Amino acid sequence: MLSARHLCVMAGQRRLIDDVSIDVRPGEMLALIGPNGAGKTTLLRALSGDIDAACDAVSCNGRPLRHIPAAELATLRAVHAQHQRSDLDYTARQVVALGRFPHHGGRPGADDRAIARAAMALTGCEAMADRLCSTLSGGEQARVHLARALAQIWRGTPGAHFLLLDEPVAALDIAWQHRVLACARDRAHSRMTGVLAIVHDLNLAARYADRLVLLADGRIRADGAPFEVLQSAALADAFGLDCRVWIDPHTSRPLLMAEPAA
Amino acid sequence: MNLRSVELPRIGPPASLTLWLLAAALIGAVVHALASGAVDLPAATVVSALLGQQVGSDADLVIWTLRLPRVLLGVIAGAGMGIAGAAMQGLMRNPLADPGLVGVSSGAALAAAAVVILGERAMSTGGWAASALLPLTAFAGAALTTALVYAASRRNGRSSVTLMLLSGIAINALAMSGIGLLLFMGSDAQVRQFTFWTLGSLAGATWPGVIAAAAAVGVALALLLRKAGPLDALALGEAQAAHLGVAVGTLNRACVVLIALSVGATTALTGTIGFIGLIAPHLARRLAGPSHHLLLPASALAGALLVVLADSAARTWVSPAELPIGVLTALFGAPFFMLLLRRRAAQEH
Repeated sequence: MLSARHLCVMAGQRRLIDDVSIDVRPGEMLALIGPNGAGKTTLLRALSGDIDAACDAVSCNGRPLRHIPAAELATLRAVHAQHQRSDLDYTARQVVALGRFPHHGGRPGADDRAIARAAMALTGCEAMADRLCSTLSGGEQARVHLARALAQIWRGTPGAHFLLLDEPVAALDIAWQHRVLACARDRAHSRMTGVLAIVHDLNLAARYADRLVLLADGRIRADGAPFEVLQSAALADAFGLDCRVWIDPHTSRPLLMAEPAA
Repeated sequence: MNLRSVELPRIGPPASLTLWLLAAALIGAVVHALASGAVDLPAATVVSALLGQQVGSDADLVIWTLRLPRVLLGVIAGAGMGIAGAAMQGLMRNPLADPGLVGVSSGAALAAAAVVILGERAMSTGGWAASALLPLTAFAGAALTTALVYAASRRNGRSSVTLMLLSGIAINALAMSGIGLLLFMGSDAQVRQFTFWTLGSLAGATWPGVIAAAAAVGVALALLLRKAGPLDALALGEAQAAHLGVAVGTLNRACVVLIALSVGATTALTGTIGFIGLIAPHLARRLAGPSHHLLLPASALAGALLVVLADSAARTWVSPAELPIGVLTALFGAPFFMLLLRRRAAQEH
């Protein structure tokens, strides 16, 4: 389990994250939702171990991040950041193989290359494997970096490894938005990966996540099954929306129709 | 699926062959450099002499005492500047980084000039301490300027090309004025050394100098080669490299020290030979690709090859006079740099 307990993150005098406790559970896909500036990325960075001051309040499999060496942590969790360098002179294949760096420490072996290929197949990157990243479109680059994150924890111990995705579908077309979130959910269910994904589209989040966590002003306002969270007053309040929720008879998932509150 | 069937197709020769080709070209250039000069020797004589056979006392003297230290110093300095350039470009994630352009070489030259001119008394006592003083101070000067440029060009954990080049201009100007000031205080003979520090020369090569440079560059080379994997990961960005388990702070500090060691040691003995740290890695990247496992050794070989060729040309083009080698490298390097700038500008728009 990847957990934060009473986590606070300050930027000067401002509290970006205010007393947040959250668990990313193996085998579960969790979608983190909330308005712009709510602190979603800050929370994800704190859970990743990026924020030094937060490393005591966050623990991975029961050990505070402070006590886990960077090289070991890299075998336990992979992170997909929102912004990636766009002028990389590596081929897509080389970038995905870098995801195996924690395991080979230098040159990828045949096993690492096979994993990189399998990860690329999941995000549909095979056709661009030998193209330079700098020549790919934004959405294609995002899929390459997603494959890198998948490759990093490909053989993670079931129940003890985590995937943290910051807006994984922001740059993708609608078909790939569904495919990528379905893929993340399948990793959670079949490999016992703990997945946390920041998703802006509430219907997509509710369609694929097992649990929704609503963050606003640095605090958790709602945490539960998609249907409950979409229906909650907290959600309408956080976004300033009038919401109507019903169940899609085809998927049995909640659907939200919202418009700005009068 | 067959594991072997979908390997990365390579443009040009296979990777390992690239290193062998560069090494072979370097050996050829070394033999050519040993054979040519005021007295031309047949290449066969040079090869026999290098293999330890007697080739006559005159040829022995020319090869072993006059030319070999100089050519070896060229190999070592070129390798040192080539790998320092490649490491700096990797560290700053910026193909325009070059120890010369950003003022690291000038910083080393300033420190070395300070020792030569202010520390004359200390130097004249002789002994190992005195001969170690010059490279050590040059190393300190290089380390200080590398750290300074690195700190000045960073903003929010990223390194900015503009800030790096601008702070390089400032540091270069500052170091040159420092060297000028020292020479103003120095004797006539020391003033004549000004060209040595600013334009570089391999003419002062001696066996002790070659050995000292070989030790320093050898250590830097060996340790930088071990950073190839982490430098590859660092290309993704500092946060991403940290997510992959790279100890980014340690890597940055190690690279700064090793770049300074390499540049400082060579600058103390050769003065500033510009642009090698820029051109060699670009040449190497074209031949070996962007992965540091091949890029670092290929840059060292390409740097050595370029310096040996440039020095041969500097010695023979206007013989019996001699061109400063830095004039030649700048003559080719500066237009090359302009070309890179234009290409980069074209990419950005």
